[in-house]
Amino acid sequence: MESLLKRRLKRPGRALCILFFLVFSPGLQGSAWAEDLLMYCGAGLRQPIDELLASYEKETGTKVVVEFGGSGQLLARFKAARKGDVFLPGSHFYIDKLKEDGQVLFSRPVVLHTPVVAVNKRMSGEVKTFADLAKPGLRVGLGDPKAMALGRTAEDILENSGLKEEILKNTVARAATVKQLTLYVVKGDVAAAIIARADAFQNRGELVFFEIDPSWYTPEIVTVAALKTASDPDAAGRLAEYLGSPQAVETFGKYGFLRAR
Amino acid sequence: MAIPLIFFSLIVAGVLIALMSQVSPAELWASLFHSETLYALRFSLTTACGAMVAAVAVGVVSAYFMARVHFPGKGLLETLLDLPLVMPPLVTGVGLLFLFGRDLLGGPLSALGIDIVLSPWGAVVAQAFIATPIVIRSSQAAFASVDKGYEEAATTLGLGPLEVFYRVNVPLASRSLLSGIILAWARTMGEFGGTLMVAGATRFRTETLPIAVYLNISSGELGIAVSCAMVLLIAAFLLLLATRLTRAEPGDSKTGKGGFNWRLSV
Repeated sequence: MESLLKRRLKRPGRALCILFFLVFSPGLQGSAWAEDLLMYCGAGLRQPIDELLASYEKETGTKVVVEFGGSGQLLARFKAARKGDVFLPGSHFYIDKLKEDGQVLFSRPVVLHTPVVAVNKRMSGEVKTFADLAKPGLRVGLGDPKAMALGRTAEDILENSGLKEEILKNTVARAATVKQLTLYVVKGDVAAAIIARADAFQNRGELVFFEIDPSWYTPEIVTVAALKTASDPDAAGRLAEYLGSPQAVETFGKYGFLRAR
Repeated sequence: MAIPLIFFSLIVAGVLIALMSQVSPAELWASLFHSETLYALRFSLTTACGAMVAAVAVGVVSAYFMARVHFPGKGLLETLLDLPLVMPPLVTGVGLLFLFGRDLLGGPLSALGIDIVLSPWGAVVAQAFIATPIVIRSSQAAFASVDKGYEEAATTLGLGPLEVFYRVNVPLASRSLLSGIILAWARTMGEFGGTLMVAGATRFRTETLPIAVYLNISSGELGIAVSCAMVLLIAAFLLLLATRLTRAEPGDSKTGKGGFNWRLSV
């Protein structure tokens, strides 16, 4: 009886083993080849970057693996992992931090990451100026200053607006990435939020947006840097150059990013 | 033969040691009393309790109905109710986020002054949604194992169906019911994906212990992350103890050992 059972189990057992390896071996192969580059990229830059990296791969044959996330989160991840080739956050603030740490080979500015106030279409009548964000009962979304590049900027904006207390009272969400925050506005889960001009532009059918007093914040410059931890510094350098090139800036422009002067 | 067992035991021990050795004992002690850790603990406990109240109220009654009544399509309903158990919590959370968003239920609810998405109530809803199927499943099994003879006797002695429920069946199944509730409670304490999506991960507003670990690891604050992780570990340990204590002995419901002692004299 027992040997019959063993025999019955051997066939499916063997099949399972083969299936197991078939399922998981692509994952094993998926780990980067020597030529693959690893890039940390702010989530707000996803659309133009997807396009740019597709054409980069076509031109040079180099595949780039991207980790998208909130810039603050990416910095923490890099510090823990200590590996990567290129870092492209939503703000030069994070590149400066990397420079302090001695991790940057070189860097160049790419485009501006401009904060704007975005308002859900349905509530556009209620929020017309920045001061309207302080209206009691309004649901406001902001970025997590520890995770999101413009979350940090929003703190400065709030401070300089003189309406910090009231707006913080209205804040119901702190998002990790600008994309998530934009989703909240588009869906109406919050009435208004401080997001990037590019994201507001990309969703201009679902929301309205207006500028913020530029004296309230220092302009955030999307900056690309090649990292010291790159296994092939030349390849990393070439990618960084490409992402900062005039054609790249044009692609960014298509998605609503303004040039860095 | 013992090698795989030793191997895995070492890994489990290794995980615990790795967690505790990330920060110095002094920093860990300080982090345990940090305002964020305490807030997360309070928030986790309140939302878990709120969710369990809803889960038990809905779950135990539903389970009783399912255990005692047969109707066409019952199997289909059981499969539907099992879905939240096997769905990835993150997927459940995304679904709830859209269900309670402005376009669907969220609009009318907010007109009534109730905000689920991006609010502490969202955490309760997400956790209750996850806990209820667990309570239903375990309670259904608990009620099914109670000898029908007792309620038949009770009915002939004049008790109405409601009294049969709470004076006969619940006490007889109490050990197994409690065991299921503890399991569901453990699940809600560790709930992350659903809460993250529905309530958001906002410090000092919708910050449960798992979300505190996530937020602080992502921003490099190891001290607070590890202390919240330790609190969760201690809670898990206590729950394990509680489960062992309430584990029903075989034949309990038949002799009424788990709770109410009801002897039939034939």
